[in-house]
Amino acid sequence: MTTLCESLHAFADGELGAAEAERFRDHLATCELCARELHDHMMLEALGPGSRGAPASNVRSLDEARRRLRRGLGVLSVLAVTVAAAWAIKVSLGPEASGPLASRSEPALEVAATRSLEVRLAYPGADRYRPYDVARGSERAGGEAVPLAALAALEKRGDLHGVGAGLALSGDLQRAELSLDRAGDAGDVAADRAALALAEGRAREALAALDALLERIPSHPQALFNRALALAQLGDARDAAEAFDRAAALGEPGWSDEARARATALRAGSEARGTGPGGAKGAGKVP
Amino acid sequence: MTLSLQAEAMVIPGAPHPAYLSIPGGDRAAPPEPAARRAFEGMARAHNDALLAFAIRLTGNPSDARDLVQDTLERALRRAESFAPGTNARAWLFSILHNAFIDRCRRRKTEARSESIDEMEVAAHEPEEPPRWTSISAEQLSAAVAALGDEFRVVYELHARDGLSYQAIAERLGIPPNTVGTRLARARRKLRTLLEDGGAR
Repeated sequence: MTTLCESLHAFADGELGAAEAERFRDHLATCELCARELHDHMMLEALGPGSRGAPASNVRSLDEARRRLRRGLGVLSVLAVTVAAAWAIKVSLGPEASGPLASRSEPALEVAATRSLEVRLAYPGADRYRPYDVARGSERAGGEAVPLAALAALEKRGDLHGVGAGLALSGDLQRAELSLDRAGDAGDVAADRAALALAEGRAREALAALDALLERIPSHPQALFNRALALAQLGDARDAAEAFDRAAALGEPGWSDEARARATALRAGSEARGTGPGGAKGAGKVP
Repeated sequence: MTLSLQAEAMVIPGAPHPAYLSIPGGDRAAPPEPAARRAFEGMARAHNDALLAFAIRLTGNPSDARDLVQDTLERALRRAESFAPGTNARAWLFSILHNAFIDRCRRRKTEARSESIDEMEVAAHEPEEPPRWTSISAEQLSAAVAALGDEFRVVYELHARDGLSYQAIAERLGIPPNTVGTRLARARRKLRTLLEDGGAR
């Protein structure tokens, strides 16, 4: 009985195998304690951010996008601290704890809840949507605590693209560039080289590279998004807004919402002062 | 008890006539008046996906999940007056989903033991929920999350907000998946305590 009670959270999180889950449903019929705890679990789920498995709702207005971004920033400081704590735990567990990483094809490299890089990376383990953290990005305070074990595993496997993406996320743009230089010429690699150029403020170089890439792969999602950023950084608000529209049209969860919000902001900004927030942002040095 | 035909409509987002539009007045309660009913339908539609997603986790398969959500919405409609406007509608609906699911588990177990399943009637499990959960605000919840210890908070955030599986969290933090599970369980118990102490209502 007690052992079954212990699997309540795994059950409610959908983590049990079919047979185990079935056994737990039987248990729930008679265990009042588990029934009550399941209720609390469901209440937290209902109160929590979004519901997993449900389609993400769209950002309806720029205001809402801003509110969401702010909300994201609120938890960020909390997360920065906890990531460090988690890292300490990881270190104390030693290298064998990272075993599962080696078996995965593309380990997710993101650690923080928001992204410190404004640009998008095309490496599959580094492109989950996270709101951009303006404060963190513009301070250039460095990136997130990408597990070194993950980087080591990628390097061992010869995945230089992955290493480059991981280094970029952790804020080491120069070493990231060195890795990507040796990572071949696949479309995603080229996109990420351009992304890094842009992240380092070389918007013109990035734009040229992205245009060339988009000629090869017209709807490359990261290239479309970063091209819009590059235009914004160069102060071309109108073209940038249009480019964000194109990126938004791909309908990727999260990314499309941000692209739409940025297009709107650029249009509003260019009416008011001739430059959008992308162009005015400290992170982007206009060459 | 089952309205499986109508339940099919539940999963089609934006379907013109979702199942809850065609719920018969009900044999236990009079149908609510049109305005209230419209408000209820809006609420049901807004939370349908969340209910269904969680019901799939509970039942383990989409077709049972649809039945369960259908059952939930019927119960909710019958008890519409017990919802306090301005409180959290999703929490209210999830509470009803919980009751419907527990009843289902109990009924199934009794049926499995019983020879005559047709005449089986199990007392409905509908305790009056204290309103504390539905009146907890997002701010109160984030404050409680912020008050969790670091090792619990990061796991909870990765799971609840980023939607990562135990395995993904385990890989990311370099801890065993079992540890993820126990930390999540403890994080939730702490949250409940914090929210109770924090005096949401």
